Amino acid sequence: MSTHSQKDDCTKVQDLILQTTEQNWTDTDKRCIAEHLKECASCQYLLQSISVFEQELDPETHPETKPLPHIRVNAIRHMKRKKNCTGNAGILQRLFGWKVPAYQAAVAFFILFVSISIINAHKGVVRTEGISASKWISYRQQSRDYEATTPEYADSSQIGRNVLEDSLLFRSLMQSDYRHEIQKIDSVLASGV
Amino acid sequence: MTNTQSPIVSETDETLVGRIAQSDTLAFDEIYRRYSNRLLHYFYRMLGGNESLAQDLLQETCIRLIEKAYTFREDGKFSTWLFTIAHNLCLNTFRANKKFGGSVTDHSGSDTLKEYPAWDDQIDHDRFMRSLHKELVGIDEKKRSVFLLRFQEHHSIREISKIMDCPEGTVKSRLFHTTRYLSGRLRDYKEI
Repeated sequence: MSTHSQKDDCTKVQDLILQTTEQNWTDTDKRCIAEHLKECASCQYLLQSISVFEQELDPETHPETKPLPHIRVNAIRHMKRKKNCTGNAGILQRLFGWKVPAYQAAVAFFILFVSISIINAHKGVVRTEGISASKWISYRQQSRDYEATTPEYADSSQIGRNVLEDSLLFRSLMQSDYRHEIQKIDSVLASGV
Repeated sequence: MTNTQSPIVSETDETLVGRIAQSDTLAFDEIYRRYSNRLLHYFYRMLGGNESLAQDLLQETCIRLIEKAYTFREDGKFSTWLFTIAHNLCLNTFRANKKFGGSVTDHSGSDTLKEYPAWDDQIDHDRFMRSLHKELVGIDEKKRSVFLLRFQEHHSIREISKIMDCPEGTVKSRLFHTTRYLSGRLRDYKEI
């Protein structure tokens, strides 16, 4: 009976010792523990062990192991980078983990826009000097069609073909502003002069 | 008498983490000052004395703290939240590198308290710590984590159960067996 009671006391005291620190013990707890420890070497040893563990494991007693200085620096740098992620980029970063700050994305889009504009402008220069390759092929095809559908033209010289080809090109270039002149040219061509 | 202390020093962890969420570097500095050493020692002991890896995990914890600060709920305790991150990082490391996850034999059957020697007041700290590290490496990482969170970090059983995401009864059981086992294994130091 007394052994059973002793075991119950041990369980209770060990629970107290393991679960809470001495500062959190009530007066009743302290009295109960003190009385039990007088009789129980096992619990006494457990309590002593715990106090040694707590003392030895305290980081302050081991100053030789310290965080490296660059850890703090890197973390602060990371925080500043994160701070720059504002607006939509910040939301995107939270949602999808994107790392591109808003201003970098804006610069990238601007560069892309300028590049496309330059390429288009270059194409425009080519077009004003003459004609784009696809249109050239198209007009040449028109010339050949005309040659095929007009038997008397088939026998004409290469110079004659070039004249027709050029006239088609000229017509396409001047179509919008010089409609009347083109009609005159058409009539001249039709008359076979 | 003027108060020379910066106001940030007197602020609670919970307030500071709210400021970290808004990228306040001073708040981060203060939290770092309070917790970096504790976290490093936790990692150091969990990883069996591998300091470089412990430093890496400390760095990773800082990054996660900055990234996830906005998810912290003010009704919770900051240290519990922070050590949950740390504990999960340790578990990830164990999974990635099995060499730190030493298997544990069941020590519950062995009665290590047959003799009950008193602890010597003049323990050789270096030798004791070396032996403690050696013994800690030998036990299961979950038991090791419970032991460190309780006796190094002074977390309550309830907090440890939240950190480790397991029932309080499991924590109590792990803590009891680990403490008994380690105190038995290290009782030889009474003679030093």
